[in-house]
Amino acid sequence: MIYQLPVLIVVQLLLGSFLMPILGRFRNQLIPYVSLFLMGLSQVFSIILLFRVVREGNIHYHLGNWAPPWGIEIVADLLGAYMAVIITGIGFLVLIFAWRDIQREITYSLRGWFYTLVLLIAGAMIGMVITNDLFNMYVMVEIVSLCGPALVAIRNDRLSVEAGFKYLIMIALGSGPILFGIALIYMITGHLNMTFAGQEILAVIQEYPRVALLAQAFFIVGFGVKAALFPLHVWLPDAYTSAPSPSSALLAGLAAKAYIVGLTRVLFNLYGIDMLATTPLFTILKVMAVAGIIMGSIMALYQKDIKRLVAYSSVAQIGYIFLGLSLVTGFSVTGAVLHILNHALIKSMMFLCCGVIIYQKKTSHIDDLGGVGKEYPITMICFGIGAFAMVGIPMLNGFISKWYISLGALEYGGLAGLMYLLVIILSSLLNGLYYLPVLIKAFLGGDSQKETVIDKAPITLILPIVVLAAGIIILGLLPFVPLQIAADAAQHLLGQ
Amino acid sequence: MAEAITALGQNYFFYYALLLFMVGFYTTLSHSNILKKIIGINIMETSIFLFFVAVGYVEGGQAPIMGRGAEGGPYMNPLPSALILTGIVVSVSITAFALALMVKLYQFYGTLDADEIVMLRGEKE
Amino acid sequence: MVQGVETYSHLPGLVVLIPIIFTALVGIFQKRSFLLRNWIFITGTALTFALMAFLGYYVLQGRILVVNYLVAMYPFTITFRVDTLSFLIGVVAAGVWLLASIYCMQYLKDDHSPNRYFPVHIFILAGSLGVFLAGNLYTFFLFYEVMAFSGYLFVIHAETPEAFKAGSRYLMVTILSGILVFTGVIITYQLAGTHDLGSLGIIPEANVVSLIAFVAFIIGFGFKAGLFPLHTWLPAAHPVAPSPASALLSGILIKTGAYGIIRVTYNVYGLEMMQDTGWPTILLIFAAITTLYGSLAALVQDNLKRRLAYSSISQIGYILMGGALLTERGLAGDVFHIVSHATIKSTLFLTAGAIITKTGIKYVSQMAGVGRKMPYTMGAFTLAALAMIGIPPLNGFVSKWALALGALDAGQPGYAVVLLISSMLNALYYLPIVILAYFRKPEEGTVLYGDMLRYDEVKASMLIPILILAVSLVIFNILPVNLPLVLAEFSARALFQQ
Repeated sequence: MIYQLPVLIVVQLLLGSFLMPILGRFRNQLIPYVSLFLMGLSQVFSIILLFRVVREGNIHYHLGNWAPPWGIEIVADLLGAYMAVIITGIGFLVLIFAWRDIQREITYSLRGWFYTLVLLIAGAMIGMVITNDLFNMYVMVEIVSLCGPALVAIRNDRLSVEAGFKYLIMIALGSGPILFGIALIYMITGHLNMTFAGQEILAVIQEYPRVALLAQAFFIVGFGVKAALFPLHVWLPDAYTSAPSPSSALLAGLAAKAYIVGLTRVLFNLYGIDMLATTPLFTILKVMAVAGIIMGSIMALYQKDIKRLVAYSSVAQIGYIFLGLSLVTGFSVTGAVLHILNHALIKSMMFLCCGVIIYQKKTSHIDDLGGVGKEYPITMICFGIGAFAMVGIPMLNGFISKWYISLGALEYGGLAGLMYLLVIILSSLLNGLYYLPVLIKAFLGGDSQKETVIDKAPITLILPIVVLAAGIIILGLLPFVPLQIAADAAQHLLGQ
Repeated sequence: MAEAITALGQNYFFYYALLLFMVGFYTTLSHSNILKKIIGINIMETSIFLFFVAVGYVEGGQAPIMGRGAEGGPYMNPLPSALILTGIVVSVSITAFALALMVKLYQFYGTLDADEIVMLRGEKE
Repeated sequence: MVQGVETYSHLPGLVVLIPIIFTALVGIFQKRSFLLRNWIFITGTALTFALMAFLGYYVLQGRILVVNYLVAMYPFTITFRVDTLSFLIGVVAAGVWLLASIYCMQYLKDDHSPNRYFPVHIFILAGSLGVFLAGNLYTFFLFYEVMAFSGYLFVIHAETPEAFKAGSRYLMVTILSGILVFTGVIITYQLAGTHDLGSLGIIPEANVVSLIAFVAFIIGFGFKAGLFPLHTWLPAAHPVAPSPASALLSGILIKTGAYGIIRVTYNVYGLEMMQDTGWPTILLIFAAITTLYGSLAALVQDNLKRRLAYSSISQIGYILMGGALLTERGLAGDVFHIVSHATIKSTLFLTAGAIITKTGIKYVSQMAGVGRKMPYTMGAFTLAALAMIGIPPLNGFVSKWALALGALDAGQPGYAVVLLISSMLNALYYLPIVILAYFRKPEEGTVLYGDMLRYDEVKASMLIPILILAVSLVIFNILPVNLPLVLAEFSARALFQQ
């Protein structure tokens, strides 16, 4: 049983998602409960899986008992299991939030489908991060990619449909390169299993250096578009802004990270760190990441819509993670892996906070937010915690990842290392500059005579936010467990 | 030079697929008509299918089916074809979804021109 | 006293924890009744002060109190370490805080949002004590950021457009200061492999990277302290903040920057490296400029609190100079001046606040006659002004004497001259206020509230803190053993042990 876990998590989510429409036919009101149950179950399984992986090392599972290289192999490594815990955990909270929220944001007939999509995307994301088969990964990537636009367009108004369409076209453009890259790898190695293909590449690299390089480029472009790596992020602001808030939280908090983990698995498992170091890959990624951090932050400065602001901040944070990965030092990769978790918590919480504000005030324009902190103190305090975590105030989790990525930049050494450190602290500064005015407006703006009252928002909206905020503080104070996992995962990736 | 031409000749399908890929990519990015964008994506995906299947092709090979006289001879590689079936499914679902959204877009905006939609959207905001 | 016996004790952690707990208590109970809130509020600060003073029992025995929390989280371990320097500054901070708390209950009686002010007031105490007692750079940075960001609520308290403008500037400075200090901390950790503040010098070698860290530290703390080109937030923020808050901003909070610079110079880099490289000379030059600039700028200010703010800038110049001279007596003067300036400037700001509440006067030119109306308040003001100028036996004299000796020890008599010039300038901008207040009659039409020539003092709860502070300017210096000076000298000696 325990060795079926990796596949069980994925299968139950995927099957559950197809159960929802059927359930919707007969017992519509059961849908939220069943989907919450499935997500919670996956969360438990993922945690058990993570424990097993930490204790026993990677868990290999051969689908249908076909041994690789013929069958599909699933390898739950540290990074994958860690990501699975994040996905199911945040997915669970988002589902709780969605319970009430989608009653406002999504028309009645589409509500059941929302749950279908959430379970589907969660299952596919986990599948993506634990599979060891290139084509299987492609299929999972495609499922996530199709669910993304659907989660955006499900609001079914003119803005979200347009944003969803743009999103769909962009990530369809990303799928092509990924499949092409897989085809190229298959052509030169004859394998789709990453481990075998990786070994084969070592043998044939002398013969086909350019093909291997081309495949790498295709992977970067493909996953880059999907993960919104600058300058391939153009779809992101519209999509995150016009999607229903739970969808934004899922997409920004999880989907982008899952693609990053997917790309990491492909690149590191396939090529290996030594070969990657000989290619210009990391230089390109570093340039794009730095540009993303700076441009994303600068664009965020000029936003008038709070969701759009948070969305642009995502572009910067994705750059942050890529910077950590592409510096390829022990500390920086640790920081990047940690930031995947930290940013998932922060960003999904911030989108949910925006969701509460939109649910109550029916506006997301920053100018209308004067005094909103007095009406909804819990929500806005949580938003503030997120904002300060982004700025990197100690005791909040953003600081931990900032610390490690900065250490990584210094470990990278030389003038370049100091430049990257400069970029990191510049991003903190810019984060402060665009988040703090919102907070100031929320708490000090508006009618100054107004007394603070307790949030009137429903408990199911507040609870997930508070849990996430507590997570931010706890992981900031006691980062021990994720830190260990991240450090080990970094060691695995760097082959030390 | 001769080597290069030979290499080109042997791998012509590779270059052809790449060309087709670029055509699809370019179509999607450059045309403002939504339908043409979708067609571009289809061209792009088709080029990859073509390439993938060509990778599995073996000169003079036979279909690897048991009991059809193919024993002993060179086989075609069946795996790419099988994979491409899945790829086609993916491609079809993307197309179908995109077409569905296109219909929605036409209902909302009354046009299929992406630039116009962006303009209309800006007015609305 | 012998330095260096480390004792594991939870007391320092408790000192920082108490104000945090009381922040929550004040926040919870303030809606019930304001009387209850006041009692909780005062109990909290008094308890903190008492416990902080109790630490003196150990420190005077020459012990160093150390406590670590979250050791498994290293490097994110919270460490407190109370040596003489930490104790001296911490106890003064807690003491001034207690007096300002007593004062602010009356001062903010009719305030528009006391429910924001009171919890923040006590919370920042936790922040600044955390800074002063921090035992590693992570703890230091943590509390530094907590304190700095909460300080924003002090600045914007009035919620006027000027306050928000000053607040934005303060916030910008806070973020910049934060990221620069972070840069310093992270580079230090990378170079040294530790961020412990317990040893004298952890940076292994002087090179470009460690110079960058040093400059980042200096600029980061310079922002907070109000070093010359970085000082602009200070004169904007002080006039708009409530007077007790200005007293704390100027008396304690900007000292965190000065304290940080001392710790960085002596504990992170170490005396030897500083002497070899001569990097503190940069600081020395800027500190001298700051001193002169602050004094000159104060001369032309008409707004009383603004004048006091510029005076603070010039005094910060003294303090930073003392540390940068790299002599033992200079450092002792530095530490002692942190203490004496904390008391002097708090006295001045609290009296300014008393004058504002009673007469509505905000400008120096309107102050004619205040001396008759409020003799005690003005008396305290005069005493503090004289201390600022450096008249014996007031504490300002003692610190200037020590600083001047330090400058001579360092072979830099030029800086003693700077001190002298600045003292004269101090006289030029403080004495006219005193003269105006006592010896001029108000002109017709300038009277704001009530008769300027009739006795009309503020309430005792505001007056007593002012008088206690005023007495403290004198009392320690006429006792046979000047305890603060002894402690300052001792903490300087501890940092000069090789």
